[in-house]
Amino acid sequence: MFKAMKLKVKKNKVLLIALILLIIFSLNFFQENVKGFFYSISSPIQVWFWQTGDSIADFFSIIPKALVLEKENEKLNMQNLELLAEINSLKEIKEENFFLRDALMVGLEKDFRMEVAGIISKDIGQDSIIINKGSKDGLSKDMPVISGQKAVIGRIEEVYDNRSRILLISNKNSFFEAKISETETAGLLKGNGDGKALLDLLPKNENIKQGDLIVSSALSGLFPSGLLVGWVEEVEKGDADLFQKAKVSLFSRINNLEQVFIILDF
Amino acid sequence: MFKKIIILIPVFYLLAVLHASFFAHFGIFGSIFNLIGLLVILINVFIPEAYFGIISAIIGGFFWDIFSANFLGYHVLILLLIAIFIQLIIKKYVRASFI
Repeated sequence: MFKAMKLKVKKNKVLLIALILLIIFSLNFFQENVKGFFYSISSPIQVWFWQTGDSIADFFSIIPKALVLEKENEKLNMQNLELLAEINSLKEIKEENFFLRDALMVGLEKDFRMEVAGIISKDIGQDSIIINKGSKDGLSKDMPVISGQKAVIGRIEEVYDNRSRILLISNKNSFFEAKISETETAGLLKGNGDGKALLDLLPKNENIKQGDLIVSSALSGLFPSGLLVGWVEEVEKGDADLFQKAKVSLFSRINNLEQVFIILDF
Repeated sequence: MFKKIIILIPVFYLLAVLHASFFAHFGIFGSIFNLIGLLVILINVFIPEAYFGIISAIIGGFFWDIFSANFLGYHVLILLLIAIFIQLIIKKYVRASFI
């Protein structure tokens, strides 16, 4: 009798666990509400953890880099001088441009309408981040997300009331059309996971070099044209392949980012 | 056991927030230090109550799912399988010695 009672208790516990699992899976029907609720209550503590983690990670990332910093500093100083000279010449062109626009009675082009949002968490394995703005702030699915330097970060994948999940361009499910800035050669930019990406389907006859600048193309309709994406790190060209592809070093490094811009319309 | 489960809920919630917002900065080769998985494994190895280990896997997995891009139940299932596997191994092959 004792054995039968013990068996009954065990059976009840297994049933209870099965019931809990069933409840958890059924919560997927209200996933937005459930996740939205937890995101909203944990927002202050998440922001604090994110900022603290960011500053600690920044501090530790300096140590291994210390050896190469001197050389890099020298190189950057040189680049800085070149850029200053370029800025100067661009300023002159800009002034000339303003003058010509006035003269031609042409209004300035409208910039993108944008919304600023703060990053509050990151899912490193899934190459996605969560920001502190949602549908209440006018955000909706598939809106492009960029950094302050106009570098493409990703697009909105899920929208909650006060939060949104951004699918980074390094995510394996992300792909859009991008082009090499100099040659206008278009290709398909595919996320490769772990903060990396590939520019695929590039015509084999095009001469693509390491360091070539990659910008977004408006053809896919996902991003406005001309936003910075990255530069070519390595070109892969097989004899048997129909196309060539390039490993891309992305401009958007979310580890150092605290805020992003969402383009509301373009 | 009920008291212990009540304590586990805020502990796992805090670990999930830490996992998503703090440890996300310290990734090594694309993976981050996972305190939720570690705690579930430790509970299942060192606490002899079988159902407590199972319940801890469910709670831990649930909060992990809340802060990840996966559907609810994904990590619950993974942690549950790990917990059941550990308990089977302990039950069949490990004999506790109290001497």
